[in-house]
Amino acid sequence: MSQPNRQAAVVLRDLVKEYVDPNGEIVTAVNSINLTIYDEEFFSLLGPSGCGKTTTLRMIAGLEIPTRGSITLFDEDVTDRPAYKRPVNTVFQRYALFPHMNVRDNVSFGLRMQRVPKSEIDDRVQEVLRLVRLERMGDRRPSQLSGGQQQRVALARALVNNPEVLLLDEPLGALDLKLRQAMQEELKRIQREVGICFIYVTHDQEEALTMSDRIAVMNEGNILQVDTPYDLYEEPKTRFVADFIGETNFLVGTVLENDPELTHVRLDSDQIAHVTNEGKHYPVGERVTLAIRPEKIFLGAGTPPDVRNVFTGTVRNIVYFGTDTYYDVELPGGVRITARQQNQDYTGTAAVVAVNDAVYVAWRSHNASLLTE
Amino acid sequence: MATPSAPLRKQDRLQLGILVGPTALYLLIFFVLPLLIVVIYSFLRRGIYGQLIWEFNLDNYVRVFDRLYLIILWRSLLFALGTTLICLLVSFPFAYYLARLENKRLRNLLLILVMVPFWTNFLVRTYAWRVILGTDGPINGFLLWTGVIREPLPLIFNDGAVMVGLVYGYLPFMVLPLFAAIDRIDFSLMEAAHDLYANGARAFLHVLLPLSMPGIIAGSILVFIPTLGAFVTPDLLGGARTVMIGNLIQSQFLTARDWPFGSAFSVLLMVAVLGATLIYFRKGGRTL
Ligand SMILES: Nc1ncnc2c1ncn2[C@@H]1O[C@H](COP(=O)(O)OP(=O)(O)OP(=O)(O)O)[C@@H](O)[C@H]1O
Ligand SMILES: [Mg+2]
Repeated sequence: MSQPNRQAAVVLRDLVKEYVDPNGEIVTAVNSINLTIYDEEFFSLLGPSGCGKTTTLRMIAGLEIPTRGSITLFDEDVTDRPAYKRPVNTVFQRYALFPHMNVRDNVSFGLRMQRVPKSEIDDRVQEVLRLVRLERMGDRRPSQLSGGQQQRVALARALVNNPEVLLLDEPLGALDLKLRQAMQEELKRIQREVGICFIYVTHDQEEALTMSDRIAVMNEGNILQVDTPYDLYEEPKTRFVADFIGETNFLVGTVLENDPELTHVRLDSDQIAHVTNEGKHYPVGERVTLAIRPEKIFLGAGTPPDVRNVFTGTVRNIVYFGTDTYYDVELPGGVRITARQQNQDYTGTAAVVAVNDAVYVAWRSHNASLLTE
Repeated sequence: MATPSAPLRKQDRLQLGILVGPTALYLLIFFVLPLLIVVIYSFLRRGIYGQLIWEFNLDNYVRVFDRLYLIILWRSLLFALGTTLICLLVSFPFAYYLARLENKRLRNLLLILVMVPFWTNFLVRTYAWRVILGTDGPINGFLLWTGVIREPLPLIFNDGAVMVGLVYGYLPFMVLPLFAAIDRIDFSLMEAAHDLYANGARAFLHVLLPLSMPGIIAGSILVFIPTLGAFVTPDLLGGARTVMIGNLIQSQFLTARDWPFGSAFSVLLMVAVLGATLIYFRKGGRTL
């Protein structure tokens, strides 16, 4: 999604970071990434452990020197600028609060280093403590605060400097689930209030989906896809993205033919599947993968709904999850498909479908994605 | 924060006795009793032949405040402070380097090297300095050979030589606690400081230095106290005028045979050191 009315806050060009490991071998942590992040945007870097998220963030902060490539902040090249001269601030994963200072001194640290007048410091510290709801905690030491409170101090300590970009490295990683969810909302509120660009590193896909305006999915130092949460989930471009975000059924096959709107695929299990192609035509005979989300599959024992893809199979396993139930269905030819049904009226489905029952599985042709890699 | 102390159960008391008992007994016999003797002696009088006269008086303490002795006390204080400061300045970069060293084997090797001097007797090592600094020692030899000087430099039997000897002798006592303290510091705090607009110098001043304080305090105390009472080093490396309190006390006991006066001086030294240490602790906060 392009955002023409917004200014580019951070531009990464062909950014590379290589480390030399103890054996003298070169490890490529970040592999020539290109990325434009806009002002006022909540942007997430999402990917599995070790994919280079932290390294990317640290290069933007100036805490790591890129091996190659350039970093631009609001049209200024900052590639060679030391961290203490960059108008960005970081919320570190383990907070990195100064243990020998109280909350107020922690928060005012950046302003003191910039030699902001004392009277202004006091006002700004008070204001930012109000923003993160810690007005009464100013005199406490970090060790006297709960994890969530320390988190807020780290946030306040960064925000008080009015950075042009705020960098957050898995800031909620150490919090328990309930607190995490509360802080997610809190972070969104604060981002809307201060209206600056947040670059948020996480390996939690749900967190990224619910909080971000846009997400970059990374793997092994590469950026695979940059999109809105909706497009990332509904239109994954690679098998990795489809698999990493949410759950997906993968069905492998060969392209049979293209209609103006539909591409027909012969699955390896010999069924024919139909997928909308949005005008894109795939070479006949090409190997493709169909990705279908479990919740988009209809399942039942009676008459199937009127959709393009209907197959019959046998229920092999049923797992009850409370809000929904997962049905593991085996199609002729041995292919497995997982269908997820909401338990709006659980007794209904459960009464009809049991393990080893013959069922239909069906999906609309626009609910599957065609992946070529 | 005071934790309310619950009355100890019988079993706990037994356990405490077993654990603390031996040490307490040892300290009582070999530390507290001799100390008590010194304190008592300091109030006695010396007979003509150096014998003790059991007559309680404060004369010894009055004599201590003689101008001559005060000068010696003052000089000793300067020596001790100077040694502590130089040790601190020399040790800090080294301890920092050690703490940051990724290569753990090299790090352990360097730590062992710091402790190697302890394998040899202090007296022997101080004699070695006499050779090194001597008129026909290697330093003068080298300088004469290169032609930088014509006459050997007077490197020994002066205050400078004493300082060199003291710094050399007590450096490990500074390095080790400093290393322990710096090694405990989370270095992401330095990155946080840089991220918050502090350049190297200011990050050092506002983050690294305060967090190293426990090590600085411990190291300073460990160097300051023994150097203040040092007598071997000034004896072997110092000139005729380089007398420190340690030498004075030693001569009172061994040469002048004025045990009461020597005791009074010892007690005073102890009180002074104790006072200085307490003030130092207060200043450094309760970080230790
Ligand atoms: N200082 C370093 N020396 C050598 N290799 C490093 C160094 N820092 C990171 N790496 C390597 O670079 C790769 C990327 O690391 P990075 O910390 O950016 O991952 P990440 O995506 O943040 O992972 P996580 O989710 O676990 O925090 C990893 O393979 C890591 O081992
Ligand atoms: Mg990381």
